[in-house]
This record gives sequence, structure tokens and C-alpha cells, in this order.
Amino acid sequence: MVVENRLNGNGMVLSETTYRRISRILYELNTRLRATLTIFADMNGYPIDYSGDPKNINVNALTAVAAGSFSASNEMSRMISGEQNFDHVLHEGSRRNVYMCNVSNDYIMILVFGKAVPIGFVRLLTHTAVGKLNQYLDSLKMQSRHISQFIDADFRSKLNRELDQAFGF
Amino acid sequence: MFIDWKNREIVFKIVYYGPGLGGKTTNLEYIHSKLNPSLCSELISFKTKEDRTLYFDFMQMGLPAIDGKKPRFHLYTIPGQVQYGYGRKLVISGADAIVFVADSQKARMDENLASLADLQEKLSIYKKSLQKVPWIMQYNKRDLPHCATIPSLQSKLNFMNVPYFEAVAMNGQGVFETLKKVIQITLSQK
Repeated sequence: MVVENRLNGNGMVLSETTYRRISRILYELNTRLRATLTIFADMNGYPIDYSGDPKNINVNALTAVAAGSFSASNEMSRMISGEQNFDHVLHEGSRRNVYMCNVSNDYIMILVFGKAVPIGFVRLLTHTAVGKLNQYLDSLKMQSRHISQFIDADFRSKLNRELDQAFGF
Repeated sequence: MFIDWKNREIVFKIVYYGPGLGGKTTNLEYIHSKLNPSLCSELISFKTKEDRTLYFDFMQMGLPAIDGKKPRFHLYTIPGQVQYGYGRKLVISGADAIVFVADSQKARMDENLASLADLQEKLSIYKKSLQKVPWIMQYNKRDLPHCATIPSLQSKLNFMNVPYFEAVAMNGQGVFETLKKVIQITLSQK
């Protein structure tokens, strides 16, 4: 399994091994915290992987909104202090909380958890998990991949037909 | 663009850009209202009390798997109002393609031009430009009086001669045609 993310024009590839390690870290964090959901995503709002049971939560939509919220918080940080250094953001709800933290500046960790989980415990375990993630992300190789194996003329042709059907043309 | 090889999903980010009150949100609202609900997520909007976009609108559109590969499209709008420049900078990050929704009314030409300049500036933050990113033009509000002619809009706004569509987003005219085209040019450049 490989995840490709063309962030700002660059090709990024997560190897099978790296992906498994990330999945394992998310699983351990989510399990130990008894969290509802733990998402590892890029700052553009694409979820790379998650652990937990989303139930009625749309992971894609939640990640897009969370990434936006996190970026907005950092813009507030820049306005008040001249630098973007809000590495942690907590939203407290009546039943569930959302905790977000920066991972290597290009990524974000998003946790959805119940009120019974102490926030200090969340921060402690997440800090440890981020440390592990950084260790693997540092070893990522930046490289371009040939997209042609995924999108070719046949794919485009079939996609056109699907679009016509979906749009009622 | 994001490819999840495990789940065989390919995800594209398409951004609707343009001046405030040009009809970007209306495009998404129409798409959301007409698509089969099984193909799209809910439409998420951050709006002010005056019903203006504060941050962005977002929806996901998915199509059935093609040869085992599932195309997904994340559709965003930007806040058009001048004071929300930061929101535009955030949303344009990582965009695979852009729909520039221009207001066809003659009186809005300056706002259209300012928004295009703003788009170029925001892209430059990410070392991109209108020459490098796939984009198309939508001339919206063609039903209103005092619209500029298409040749006039073309000469003033479409300096790169990208594909364009006439639209009345309120009733859906040109909306899906625009979306189909932007998806096509997104994929053609991959």
C-alpha cells in the first residue's frame, strides 16, 4: 500500500512499511485513550489514515473542517505573536471534545474523544505518538510517481460516462 | 491530489474562486441539491449572519468505482469578501483545479479583475500560477440586466483563453457543465 500526496506540487510517497507503522501508532493511541476517532491527515485536509469507528462522522468532511480550524488558529497566533506556534488546539463540547495537534508542520493529528477522558492524558499520549510519527516521517523520501498507472485514457473515458450519468446529461 | 492505494481512492481538490456575491456558494448548493444523495456528503458552510461565506463551503462528491478505482472530488468555495484573504490562502492550498466564477454584470468588472489578481497572488504563495494550475472560467448571472457581453468578458478576464461557460447558478444553468469540464481538465493534466 502506498499513499501519494502531491502537496504543493511535490510528490510524496509513504511506503508500505511506513504506512503500517503509522496505522499501528494511530491504533495504539486510539485504543489507549478509548477515543472515538483518531485521524492523521495533511494540512490540506486530506485524511491519510484513521483509527476508530467513525459511526455517523464523515471523516473526509471532519478532516477538511479540522484542518481549516487548525490553520485559522495558527493565523491567530501569527497575529498576536508574529509566529505560527499554536501547536495544540482543543475544542470542548458537551459530550465530546476534539483535540488537534501539529505534526511536522505538514500534518495534523485529530482526536475525537469523550468527556470522561482527561485532557492531560490525551496530550501526554498524543505527544508520545507524535514523537513516534516524526521519527518515521523524517525518513520519507520525496519523489515523483507516475500517475498514469491510475489515470489512463480508458479511466478518463469511463469517468466521463459516470459524470454524465451522475449529472443527468 | 491524494491517492489512497489501499482503498483504491483518488481524491481531487477543486476550488471555486471569484469575487464576493458572484455565485460560488450557489454553484455548490445547486450541485448538492441535484446530485443523488448517495454520491455526495453534506454541504458544510461557514456563514456570517448575513448569509455570506465566512470561511469556506465544502462538500465531497464521489462516483462509483471505475475499474476498482473510486474517484472522489472535494469541492470548496472561498470567501469572496476582500477582508477574508486568509481564508482564501488556506483553501487554495493544494488545489488541483480552479473554477473562477465571474459576475457578468458590467458594474462588477473591477471586482472580477481584483479577484483574479488576488488568485494569482495567493497561488504565488505556493509557487504556483495561473499558467501552471488547471482552471476554467464561469460567467455567472447571465440572466441579469446590464451584463457585459461575452466578447467583452473574454477580452478583459480570460487572458489565457481557458475554457469558459455561461451560467445562471440560481437555476442550475451551466453549473454541471462547468463541473464536468473542470474535472476533465484536472485529469487531463495528470
